[in-house]
Amino acid sequence: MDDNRVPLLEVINLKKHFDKSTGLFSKKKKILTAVDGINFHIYKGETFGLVGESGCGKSTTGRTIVKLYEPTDGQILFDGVDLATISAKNMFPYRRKIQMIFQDPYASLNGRMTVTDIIAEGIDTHNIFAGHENPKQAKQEKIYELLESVGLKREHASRYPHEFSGGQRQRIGIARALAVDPDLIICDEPISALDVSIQAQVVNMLQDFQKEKGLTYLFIAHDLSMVKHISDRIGVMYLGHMMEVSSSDDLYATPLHPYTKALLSSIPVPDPDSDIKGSRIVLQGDVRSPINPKPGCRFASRCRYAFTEVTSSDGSFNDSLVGKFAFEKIVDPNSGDLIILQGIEITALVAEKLTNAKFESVKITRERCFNETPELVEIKEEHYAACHFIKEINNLK
Amino acid sequence: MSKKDFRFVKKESNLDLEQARVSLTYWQDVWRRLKKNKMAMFGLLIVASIVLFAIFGPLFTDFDYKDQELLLRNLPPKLEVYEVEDNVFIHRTEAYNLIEFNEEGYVVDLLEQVTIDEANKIYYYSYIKEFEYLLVEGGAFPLPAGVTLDAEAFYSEVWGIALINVLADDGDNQVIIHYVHPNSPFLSGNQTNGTVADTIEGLVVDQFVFTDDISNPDLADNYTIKSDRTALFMILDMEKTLPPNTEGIRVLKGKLSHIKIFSEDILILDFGLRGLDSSEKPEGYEDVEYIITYKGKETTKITDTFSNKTYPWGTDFLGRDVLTRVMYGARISLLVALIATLVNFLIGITYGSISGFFGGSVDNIMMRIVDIINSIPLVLYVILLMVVLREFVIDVEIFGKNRVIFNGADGFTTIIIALGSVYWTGMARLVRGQVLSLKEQEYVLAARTIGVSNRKIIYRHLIPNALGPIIVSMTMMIPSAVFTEAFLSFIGIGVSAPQASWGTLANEALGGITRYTYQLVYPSLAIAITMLGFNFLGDGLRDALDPRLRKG
Repeated sequence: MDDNRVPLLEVINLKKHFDKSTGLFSKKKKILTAVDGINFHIYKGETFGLVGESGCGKSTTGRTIVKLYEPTDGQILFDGVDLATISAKNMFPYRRKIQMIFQDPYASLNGRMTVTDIIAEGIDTHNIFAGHENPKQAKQEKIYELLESVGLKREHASRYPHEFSGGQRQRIGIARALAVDPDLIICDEPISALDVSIQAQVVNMLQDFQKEKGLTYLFIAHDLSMVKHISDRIGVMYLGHMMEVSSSDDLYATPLHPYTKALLSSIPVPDPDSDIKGSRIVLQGDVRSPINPKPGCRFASRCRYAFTEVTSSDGSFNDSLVGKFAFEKIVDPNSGDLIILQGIEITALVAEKLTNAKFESVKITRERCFNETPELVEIKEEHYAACHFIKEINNLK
Repeated sequence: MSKKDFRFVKKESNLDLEQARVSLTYWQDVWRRLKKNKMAMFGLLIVASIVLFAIFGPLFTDFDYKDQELLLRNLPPKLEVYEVEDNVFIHRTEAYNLIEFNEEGYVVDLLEQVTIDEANKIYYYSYIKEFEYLLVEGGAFPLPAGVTLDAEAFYSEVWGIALINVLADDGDNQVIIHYVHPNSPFLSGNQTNGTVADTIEGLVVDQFVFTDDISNPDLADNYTIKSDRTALFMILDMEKTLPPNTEGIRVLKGKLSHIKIFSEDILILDFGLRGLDSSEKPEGYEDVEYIITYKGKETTKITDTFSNKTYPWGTDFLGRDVLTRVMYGARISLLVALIATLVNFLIGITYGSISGFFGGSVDNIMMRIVDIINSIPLVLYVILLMVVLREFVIDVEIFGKNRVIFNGADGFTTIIIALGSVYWTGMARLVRGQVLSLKEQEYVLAARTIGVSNRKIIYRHLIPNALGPIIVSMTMMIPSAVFTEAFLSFIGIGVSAPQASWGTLANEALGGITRYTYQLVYPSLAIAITMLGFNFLGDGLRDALDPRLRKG
């Protein structure tokens, strides 16, 4: 790969918090940290995939970059200009350069407008053909050209969105994004609502446009195999934090972060004899609430590396366990009584119970994982991960 | 099947199946769905009829909403009549006014009270009977041979009558019958110059005096014949006076169009038996309360009941036609409702969309204002407005004429202002809710990504998509405004007399609710049908605009 590639978009410590406080008199503020300080950059002409499970802040990131949301903190450097602090008026020219393709082809087109009106909206707003001798005709020609390039017909121009199938609608959405000749397109799960056969068509079309027009994509998705197919580089998000950023090939070949490992192991393999079932990492527990999160690694509560085991052979539980936190819910195997819940501090009484229940080992949390937020650091060349024990886990030097 | 049966098609060939269906816009689709809904079409029919009734109805009546005839007050739509003579029907009102109807049910005349004998409870009425002789043109009563007339005489071949102009003692021109043809349709028997003693349709006629106002050429063809002794009037409508013929006689030929003869008689209404116990009444009169005597013939029973044709819905307490007033009432009620709804529509949409679109504290403050406005009782508000606006009269000089463009004293404008300034809160809330949900739609986000201005997003994306519920709400708001207007007018703070709104009509009818129920029934029915129609239409529209909301 080129060493002197220029980043088109640089996202530095981007934060987007939503105030979810309800009522006038609630004392405690509820802050939903949808995106909490993420860093990544996208080079010109490449596709950057952003993956993660539902609610991890992928879409919020995309929408914050196009300033649909005002960022709470951080910088969005587009061509060297910080869009995060720019005024709405100065943002206007950049609206033409950054476009977005939306997830739901049924919701993303205004049902009261014809296809022509939908596509022409950007052209009209930015007065693209202002200097043209016949702007009306030029606009109409451009619309026909766009429709044909996305695989629709001229006669579709006067129709309404409800007369099209999902795939055709998504093509109209793409034509709308392309109408203003953007540099960067944020594809917010553009294929997840489509049939598998249509998905491939749309993705291939997007790739064709990229080659043809030199577009840069931020491709948000949760379909890992599709992301692998389309992306040059991939960022993995979990609960508003960036867990790992790497080139696509590197990420899929050698995932470093425990979350990425779990995520990739969930990709189904179309081979019934595969031993994938044995190597699949099933995550325990639920995603933590993003409202007023505690410090520490966001993934720690579900991470299978975020604990150490204390065995009874080390001595009595009392000495080694009291004051530590239980990593998981512990139930007395004999009586079935609950001894301690996940994440609760172990008291002397609990330790005694554990001893009485004749536990041989107890999992306690690694304090660093729960107290200190890991930074995204470069582990290998162009491969970043945010985990305190990344080297330990991957047996790196 | 072998491989030969198949052939390769070119990759580029168009295998797409084109849909042949006509491209329908959203509103065409709505209309199609609405047409399927029978209830809604019924509602639409009702609404259309009422609107037509309000617009064109008043053009077809002979009355104005403020025309009043006190003697014809409280006439019911169904008449109970006494047939005092063949085809002479007399209706007695509660106030002892006697009204003559013809057999079709039209008002012919109002009988004038001549004498009132309060002590014996006997009223005397003058009954003027009208005879009309329509003439066949060219009626053949030529002047018989041997009859010579003065050169001054006019002779009508149609009537077989000769008239001469004489100058009376008082200087007026009088026309005197000079000669009557023996076969003349209204005269037979002996006659002498100026004096005729004969019978016309059973009337004894002593003398005809034709008074002719020669100074007025337009009236010259009207002749009134007056007989002093027996009340008799006669009107001759003649056309032109022809020049003298060769014999020096001026002859009117076939142009006398008709003759009306009125005769006056006395009709006696005796209600002395009213209120008496049946045992006290004379024999044969046990069930009788009223006795009407005409030409010696007593009528004691109501002989017939038929529909009032002159006043199909009767008259009110001032003798105004209820039908006409309900029509004018429809105008006022619908106009108030329509204007109030339009005002609400404009204010509500603007306010609601701003509040919903900008959200946050803007929304919070704007909605609290709505809450405050909503908490003012409407009745109190209207009364206050009435008091304040009563003093206000704005007149503007337009084309040199002073025109009153606002008059606070008439309740019409006040009620529109009151409804318009209070009702929009519901619409504002609705639009706000719609906008709040719609602004998160991806097509709005797409527009914002492109950089479309807020104003354009509101009126190109948000309002068109919220229009369905807005229209439904407007259709529902019209009957509600009609009802509120009716209610305010009913309690006396709406439009003021003599203007008629349905509420005013109902209010006026309330005084006679037991005896003259029809006065309340018709306006109430109008209100009910209007509300029903609009509600049916609104329900249908809601289903048509948003099929997902369809009930059941």
